[in-house]
Amino acid sequence: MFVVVRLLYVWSVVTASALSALWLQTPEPPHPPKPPGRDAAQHIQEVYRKLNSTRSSNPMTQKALDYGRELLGNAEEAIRAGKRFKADRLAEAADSLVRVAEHQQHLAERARARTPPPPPPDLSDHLARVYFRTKQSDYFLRQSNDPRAAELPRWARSLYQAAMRDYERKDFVGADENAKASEEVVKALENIAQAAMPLPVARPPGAPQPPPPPPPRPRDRKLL
Amino acid sequence: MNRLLRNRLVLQLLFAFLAALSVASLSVVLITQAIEGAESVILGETNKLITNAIAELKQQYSYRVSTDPSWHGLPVQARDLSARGITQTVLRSYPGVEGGFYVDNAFLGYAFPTHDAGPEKVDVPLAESGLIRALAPRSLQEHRATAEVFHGKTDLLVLGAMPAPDTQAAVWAMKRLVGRGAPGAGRREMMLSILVLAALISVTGTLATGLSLARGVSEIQRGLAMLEQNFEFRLPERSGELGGISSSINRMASVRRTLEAELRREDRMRALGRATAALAHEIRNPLNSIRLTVQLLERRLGTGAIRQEDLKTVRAEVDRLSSLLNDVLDLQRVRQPRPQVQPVVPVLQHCLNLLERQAEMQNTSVRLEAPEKEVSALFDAQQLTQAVVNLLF
Repeated sequence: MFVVVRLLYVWSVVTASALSALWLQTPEPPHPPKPPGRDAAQHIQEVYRKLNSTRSSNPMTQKALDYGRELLGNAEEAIRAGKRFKADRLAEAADSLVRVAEHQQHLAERARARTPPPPPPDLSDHLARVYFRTKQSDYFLRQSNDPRAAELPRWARSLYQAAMRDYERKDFVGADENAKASEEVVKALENIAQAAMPLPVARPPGAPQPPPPPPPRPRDRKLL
Repeated sequence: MNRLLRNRLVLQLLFAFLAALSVASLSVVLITQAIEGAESVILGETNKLITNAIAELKQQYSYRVSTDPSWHGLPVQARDLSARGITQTVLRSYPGVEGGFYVDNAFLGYAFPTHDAGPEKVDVPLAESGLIRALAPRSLQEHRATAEVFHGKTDLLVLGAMPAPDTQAAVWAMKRLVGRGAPGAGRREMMLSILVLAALISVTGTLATGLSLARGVSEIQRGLAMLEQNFEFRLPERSGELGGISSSINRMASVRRTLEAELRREDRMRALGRATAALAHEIRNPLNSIRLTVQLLERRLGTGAIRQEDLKTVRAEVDRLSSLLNDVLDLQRVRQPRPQVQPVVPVLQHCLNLLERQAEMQNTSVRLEAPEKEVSALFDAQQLTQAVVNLLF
């Protein structure tokens, strides 16, 4: 009887160890998620085309375009490494940087622009939302782990301040373009942070489930 | 009751005890009300804070989702990062508040940016996750914001949730009020313990002091009663105010004892003086009588007419002197009268014989007029003789 119990004990320990080892390995997911309706390589090529057709209107936009080009190179590397989600996020970040340059180009060419400025109430709401987005930039920078992205929060803030100055001067076109540019900078930073995060890991079939959370501490409840 | 009213010290103690009890009870009530008031204010402020935080989170999350067409196609990790960017930024303005979103039965974008200990918190606390999982879906189902307070052993938890219908998510936030267990239980227990301890010490001290005073007063009363019986008795030595009173009483008893001894000595001296004067007076009469009788005998010695009565008079006066001296020597003993029924006239005749010579010397005649019938009475012959002689001379 004792021998049978010991054998059962050894068998259960070996089985649990093997299943745990199986669950802990697999650093790369078998099927990384893919953004809907878009191929990463095609997306990169589209952004390349936009980037090549965009001109820089000031040193900041030149830096943005250079950084966008670098991000597209990283995206291509990611595709080669089979990291499609990372490639897509980097391409999206590069696209945002290209849009920053486009908005700045619109400002430089606004003498020819015929589009009417947005009504001031909507613009003030937009500025408030952009302000909140600029506050998020520091968090996204911390998550990006990219030293070259260190300048982006500063760009976002300076573009927002420029938008505020335009708004106070009642230059609503300038305010709108600068606000959009600032928002695109933060969006680029958010995409870079998403690209840098660990990819989701699919649990292999048959792997043990993680332990359930402990029951909550007993508390008396009262509705406010 | 009357005895109690008469005993002022016990009455005073009773009043002091009742006063201490009243003050302690009043303090308990006031402290409890103050703490409960403070707790309700804190809970109200915290609830307002949570409500504002949730509203701001909802606004930013809705905007973020509505402006990104690819949002729902993103992997949950990417959405988690973007949502955490919102939570981190919003909740930085709400100290002690943590929160996030609850989408498709899963947590999204949890952050606690003002948590100042350790690394950045990214996981929902396991202990509270069940409470959030219960509250967030309920707010989605009921389409309204809801908030609850949970009382733990050592803390309070204020948890709120609000639906964001356009995103199919619930926004939640919570704040712990550490060290506030059941409403103010810790502080209240501590303050009440201190209060009860202070009241107990106060009441015990008051009772001990009162009992000590009562015992001391009782001892002094017993001592004074003993002093009435025995003036040599002294009250026992004590400390404190009652000790001073005992010492004063002892000192007063000593002084009184000395004064009384002196008074007694003076009384004795006065009595001795009075006795000496009386003795001199008593001795002088017989001596006079003897002297006169002896002079008469000297005169009759030449004629040879010496009478037997003259010699008897001398002997009787000498006997009276001897008796007086015996009385003086026996001063402590008061001579008791020895009355007996006897004839009065012979005794009075003897008094006249004693005074006859002296009356002659002073050319005075003394005569006894007595009835022929014998008169008897109950009297002491010696004391009557002494009284009659003293009256006539």
